[in-house]
Amino acid sequence: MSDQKNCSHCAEQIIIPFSSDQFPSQIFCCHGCQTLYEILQENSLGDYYQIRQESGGNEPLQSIKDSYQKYKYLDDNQFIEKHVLETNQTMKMSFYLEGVHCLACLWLLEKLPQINSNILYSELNMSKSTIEITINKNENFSNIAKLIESLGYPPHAIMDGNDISRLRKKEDHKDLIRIVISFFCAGNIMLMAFSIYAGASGAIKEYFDYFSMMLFAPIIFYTAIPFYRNTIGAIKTKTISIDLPIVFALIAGTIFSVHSVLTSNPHVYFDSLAILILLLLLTRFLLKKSQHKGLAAAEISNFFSNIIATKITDSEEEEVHAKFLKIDDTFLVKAGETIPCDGIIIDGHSSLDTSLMTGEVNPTPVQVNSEVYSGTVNLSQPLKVKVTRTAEDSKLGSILQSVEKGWSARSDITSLADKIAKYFIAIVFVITGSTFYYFYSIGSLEEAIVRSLAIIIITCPCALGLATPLCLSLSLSKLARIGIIAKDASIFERVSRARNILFDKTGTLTYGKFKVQDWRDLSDNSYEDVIFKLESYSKHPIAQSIQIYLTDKWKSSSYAYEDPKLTDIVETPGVGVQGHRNGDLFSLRASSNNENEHTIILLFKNNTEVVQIELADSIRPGALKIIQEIKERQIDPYIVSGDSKGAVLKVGSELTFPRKNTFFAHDPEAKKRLVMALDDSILIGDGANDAIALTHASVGIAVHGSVDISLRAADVFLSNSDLTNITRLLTVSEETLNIIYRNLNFSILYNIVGIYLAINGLVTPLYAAIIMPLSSITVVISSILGNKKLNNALKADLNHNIKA
Amino acid sequence: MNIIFLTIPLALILATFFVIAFIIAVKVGQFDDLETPAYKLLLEEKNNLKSKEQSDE
Repeated sequence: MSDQKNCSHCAEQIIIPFSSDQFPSQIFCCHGCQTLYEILQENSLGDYYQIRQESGGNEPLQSIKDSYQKYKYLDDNQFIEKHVLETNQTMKMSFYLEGVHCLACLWLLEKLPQINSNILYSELNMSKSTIEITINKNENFSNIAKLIESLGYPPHAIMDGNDISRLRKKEDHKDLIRIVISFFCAGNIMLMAFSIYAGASGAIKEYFDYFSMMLFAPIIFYTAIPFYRNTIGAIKTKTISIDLPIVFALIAGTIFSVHSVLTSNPHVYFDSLAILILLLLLTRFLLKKSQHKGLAAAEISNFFSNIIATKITDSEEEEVHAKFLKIDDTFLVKAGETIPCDGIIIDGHSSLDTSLMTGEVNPTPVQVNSEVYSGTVNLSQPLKVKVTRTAEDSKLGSILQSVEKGWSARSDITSLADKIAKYFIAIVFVITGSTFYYFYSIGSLEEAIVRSLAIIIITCPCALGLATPLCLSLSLSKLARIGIIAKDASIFERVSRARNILFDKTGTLTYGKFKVQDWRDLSDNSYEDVIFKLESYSKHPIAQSIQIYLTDKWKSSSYAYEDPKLTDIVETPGVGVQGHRNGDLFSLRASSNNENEHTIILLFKNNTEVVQIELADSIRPGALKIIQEIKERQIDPYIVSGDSKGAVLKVGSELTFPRKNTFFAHDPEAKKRLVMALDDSILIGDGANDAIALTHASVGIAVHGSVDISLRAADVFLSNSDLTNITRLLTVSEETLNIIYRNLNFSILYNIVGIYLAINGLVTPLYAAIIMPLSSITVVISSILGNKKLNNALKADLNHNIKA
Repeated sequence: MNIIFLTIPLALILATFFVIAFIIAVKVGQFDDLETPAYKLLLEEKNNLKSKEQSDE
């Protein structure tokens, strides 16, 4: 064995080395990596490895999957028509890529045209992990997708790339242009206003006033359009929008200022109006940006319907999109493939990973006549399945549909700030109206206009219109930095209202993966090599756990694997693996007497037990601390699991859940009912099997699992499995609301004083216009500074992350 | 001081060019992705010259 211990391509530690004839000095962990290394070298892209090392990306890559997922649906005419941008000679499409992580990925992916000359252009967006690829019309996207996958980045077509994301891009462009024009106009108006405040008079003042008026035109006619649109929308639906007084002040102020300019009056307020519009546009843009960070659920919503199936028709095999499979069609599912629709097995036996549907970690053995569900993964042997329900009607399909329904059903939650804003605006209107009427009725029109305008200008609801979104967007982006991705800003209020927190067990409180707990050699010999070899033939999660355990163990004791030279290795799904050596039969099986929650795997040498391996799912570190912290916050913790009584009770008592809050054997529907029965509850689960319940909780938090379902079903997605993020979320939500309340209190106090002064004629609109931005700046600074508790919570995070 | 009657419009016209330049930059998508280009800067193109020669041919 050479000194090199890691694969030249994927940098994974090597147990059985493969060497290349072309590059004898390199060793690989598998043929896949070897082939890839050769592809890169042949296309003179060998610099990849150099760049990877320099940029510190030399951690093991995602291993290349044995069975290539098929991308044939990308060539489907219907699909192309809908999602591919076509020109005369080219086609353009976007993909979301898994596993993009460093500079070398960027370098390699943008070199795609060098590997396949039909790729004309490829551009990667690192922050979103999306790539836009332009190809020649005579090339197929399925080939391109296979190529990208073979490089180690499984691609997912972004379905709505043509409509939604393009519209959003256009909107972004418009917003940016509006902001920059406002900036240009407001800045120049300010410069002139300053000199007027400083005492410019006569011809220069008049000149500046006219110039300000001219510069104000783009603001009122172009950049303020979004405010008009919102106001008209609000009037149509007969609701009060926060934009209403803004538009009112804008129009009244403009008319009044224009009138003042024409009649050489001193009351010109273009400067304050322009700054107001600029600040509002800016904060709203920032809020929108921070909410759109990452992938929007709509963009990737269709990953699951992308499953392609091998349809069997009269001894012929054909690859079709899952949506074209009809009832009574027969299809083939190879090992490692996902089942596209619900059906009944008509040939073959195998074991399935059903964790997506049930949360069950153990593979389920299936044989002829077993029912299978879409979304589950075939682990060992090829199966022939007859369709009983099409992809759309399948269990997974209906889960996805009810997830959608759950979302649209609860979009009417109004936030506190909106409610206060409505009363506030109504009150301001009443006060302004009566002031105007009072002074008008005592006979002074000018006094009436000046005082009511002063009220409107001085009372601009800055803390609501400006500071609240700013505060929310800052907290959202701070959360994103520590791996908590929230869908929208309304979660802060819902999180801080929570009285109950429900935890899913498998995968949330525990790892959801088997770990070797105990390894007992019952004879003097060590059979580690034999077990490793046998398990390398199985795709069963337990087999993988044992392999991981052994590699880790060997790594630490720097033991080198020796091939035990077994022959006739056979895996019997649901039973175990066996092989022969020198006339001895080695067989690896699960123990049949399974009383406790632990799974026991036994190695038999000619029917004598030689090794006992004990595996169990283990509780995540820190879980106990989280539960205690939650109790300290006067929030009731619940544990709810689909697992059996014994396992749930054990975890529940270990983590000090009250017995009455422990629920076991709850299927997704039962979980949903439980969540709906409890008010103000947060549900923390994995994205897939808890999807329905997640949408019905007042806040759904997805801990891990497939991104696509999680993002659809949950409000919050924790991108790392660190459970302390849950308490951080609680703190951040609470403190964000505290800051908002602080701003609101300040704003209310300020407004009462301001209105009092304005009614009594103690401030003219000029002073009102100077005081108003000062109050805005106060709340903006207050939002940016945050408070001690919030900053401490986030700081503690950083330290924690460095340690971890 | 009368010179400002001339210099202010001139300054504004000059600034308008920058605004127009910015709008064009937005429209061609220069602000769409603010992260990746920063990484691209770090990649040294070894065969830059070679590919340039090829494209000249």
